[in-house]
Amino acid sequence: MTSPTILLVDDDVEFLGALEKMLRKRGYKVTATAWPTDAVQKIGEGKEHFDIVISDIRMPAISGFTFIRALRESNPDIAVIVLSAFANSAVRESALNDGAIACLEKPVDMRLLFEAITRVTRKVDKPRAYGGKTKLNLIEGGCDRI
Amino acid sequence: MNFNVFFTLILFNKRVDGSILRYNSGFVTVSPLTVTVKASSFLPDKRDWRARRSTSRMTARYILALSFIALLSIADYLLIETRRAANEAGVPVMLAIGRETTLLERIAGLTQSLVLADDISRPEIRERMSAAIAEAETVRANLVTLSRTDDRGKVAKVFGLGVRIPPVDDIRIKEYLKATREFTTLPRSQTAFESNITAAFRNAAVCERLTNKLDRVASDYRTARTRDVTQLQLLLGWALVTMIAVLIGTSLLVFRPMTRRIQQEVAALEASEAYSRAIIETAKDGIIATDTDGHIDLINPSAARMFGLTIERALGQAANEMLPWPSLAVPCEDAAGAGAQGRRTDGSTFPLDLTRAQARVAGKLLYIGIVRDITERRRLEEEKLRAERLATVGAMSAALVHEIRNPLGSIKLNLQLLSEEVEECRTGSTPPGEALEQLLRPISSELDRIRAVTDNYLQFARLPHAQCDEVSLNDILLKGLAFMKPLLEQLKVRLTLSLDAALPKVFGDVEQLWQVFLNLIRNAVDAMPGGGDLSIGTSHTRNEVEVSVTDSGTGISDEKQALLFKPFFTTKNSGTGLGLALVRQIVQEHAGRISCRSTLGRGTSFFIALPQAVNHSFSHALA
Repeated sequence: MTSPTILLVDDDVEFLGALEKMLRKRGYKVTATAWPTDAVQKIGEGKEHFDIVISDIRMPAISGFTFIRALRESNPDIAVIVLSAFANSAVRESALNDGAIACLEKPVDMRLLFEAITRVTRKVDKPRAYGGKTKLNLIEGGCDRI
Repeated sequence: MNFNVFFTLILFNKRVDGSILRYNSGFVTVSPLTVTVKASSFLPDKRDWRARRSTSRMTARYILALSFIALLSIADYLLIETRRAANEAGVPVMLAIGRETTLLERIAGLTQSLVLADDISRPEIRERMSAAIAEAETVRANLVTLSRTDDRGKVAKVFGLGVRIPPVDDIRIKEYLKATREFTTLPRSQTAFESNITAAFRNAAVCERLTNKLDRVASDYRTARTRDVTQLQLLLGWALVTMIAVLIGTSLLVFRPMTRRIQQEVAALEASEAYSRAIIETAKDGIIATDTDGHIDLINPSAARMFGLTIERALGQAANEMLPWPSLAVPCEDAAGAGAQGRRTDGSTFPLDLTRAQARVAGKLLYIGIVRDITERRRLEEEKLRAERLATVGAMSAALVHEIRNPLGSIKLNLQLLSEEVEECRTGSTPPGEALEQLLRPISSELDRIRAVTDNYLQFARLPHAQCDEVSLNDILLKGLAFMKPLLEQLKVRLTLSLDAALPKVFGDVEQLWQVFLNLIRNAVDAMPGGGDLSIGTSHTRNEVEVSVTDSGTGISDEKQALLFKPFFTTKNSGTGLGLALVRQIVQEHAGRISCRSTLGRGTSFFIALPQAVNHSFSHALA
């Protein structure tokens, strides 16, 4: 799989727009929404298939954590990357516990984001490649997990 | 206790003639000596002392023993009294002299006694007595004493009976008188004397008969009298029994329960005193009591420790050497305030908290002070304040960072895109134009957003010092709303104003107060996206001025109401979360209160109460 489909969820419309543009330019298929409820609906409908969901934590209506938990339960095959304006260790740990594969802080280092996306892509291709890492290592080593 | 002893006491009876009368009708009889011995057994003995019996019990024993002895004395006295009374009545007198004296003397004594006993009240005795007396009187009237010295020089004395001769003048009587004279004068011859003696003894024989008769009378009288006396004694005895029974009953029913109650009360009192003392001595707070002169009357160990004293040294010392004001009797403004300082004996001072009270104990006025060394409390309070300040700063910084990083995120992305576009422009043939502009616009607006956040934050964190004056809230509202009316109309918001015409002024900063109302109005308008009703009203109570701002908007849920005034809490997408926090800060700095009432789907009301500007000291409070 070379070009995964990505669903973007962030209530900050300016940020959402810019990120959507950036990812499109890199050749990803991107759907963007400012409402987590909208995102849940889109996934639930099943019209589009998403490989990755990139979500904010602090959002109206549903907290990012709740959203991730619900998503991991209903669609465990979709990888979740969390972006937060305030990602301290507690937020990171909580996000990773809820099943996110990476938790990045805003303003986002695009290199890390693309790396995370690439890892997902690779994982989809070779599922066993990263199975040995422990959670603690993942948090310390760049707050991602595959 | 043996009741028989008491019965014996009074039933043991002595007759007038000295014989012992015993009543054996079912009672035990003992001698007075036994009774005395018995009485001594009531006295407390060694065992009592060893057992440390209570004082009242010992006293009761003494009283019991003494009562016994007293009862014996009473009984004895009654017996003696009875005998004396009988003596006075005459009977025993007669008996006492009857054995030894001559017959004539006996008669003479008898007569006298009978006269003395004349007050006997029984009519038949009295009658017989009167007859006997009359007869004896006759004998006595005719008694003649004869005396003569005999040959051996001894004086012989002889009583004889003479005959009283009434005054008559006939010869026969005169002869008789002559004979009488002879009788009364000493006879000239022995023969005549002897014949006279014979005659006298003849008369004496008559006398004896008379005496015997009198004896019988007296004996009758004596028997009657004895019976009377015995009955009297019985009566007295029963009275005594009753009296003793009453005494014992009283002591059993009243004295013993009373003693027990007193013992219980004393014990309770002692326990209560020990209890109070224990509390005072173990209290962590210092307790000091002074008399009206300000000298320490009582001090507990905690207080003594606090002031670096021993209790012995502290007692009697003037309290104002330790406390920072003249006397506990004088209320001290500073006592509960921050400035109160206690002074130790070494001269060092410490902050203290004092509660004053006064009490009247046994007519004496006491001033009581409860002192607490608040050094530790002060330190903890300061630490807590510092920690709270740090926590607030921490929470605010975290929120602030969040609010700034969000726009920074999009700025960074846009800048990255921009640099890519510029690169494309340079290498390719695409002219720079709309695409670049599209990327620059959000950067600018996001920068504005960061600025708004920091401005609001600074406004909140460094609220400028209020420029206070007496102002009318009505004026502030009318002036401010005049500029807002076109905007409200545009947003389809209907404004209803109900201003209190007699609204008192408040002491406050016009700019800051308008900021409060403006923020509330903005929130109200934001809550009614499609338009609605906005009502603003003013009113006043006795001390306060009130303003209400009510909208017909979406309303706020209860959970969100609780967080409403927290910095960086917002329900809006574009809110900074500092508006209501600022409102509350301003209202609180104006010594006012703000509250909120909201129903989901119906709307929200905010109420602000500010103190009226009548109290001038308020201006000092703000200064």
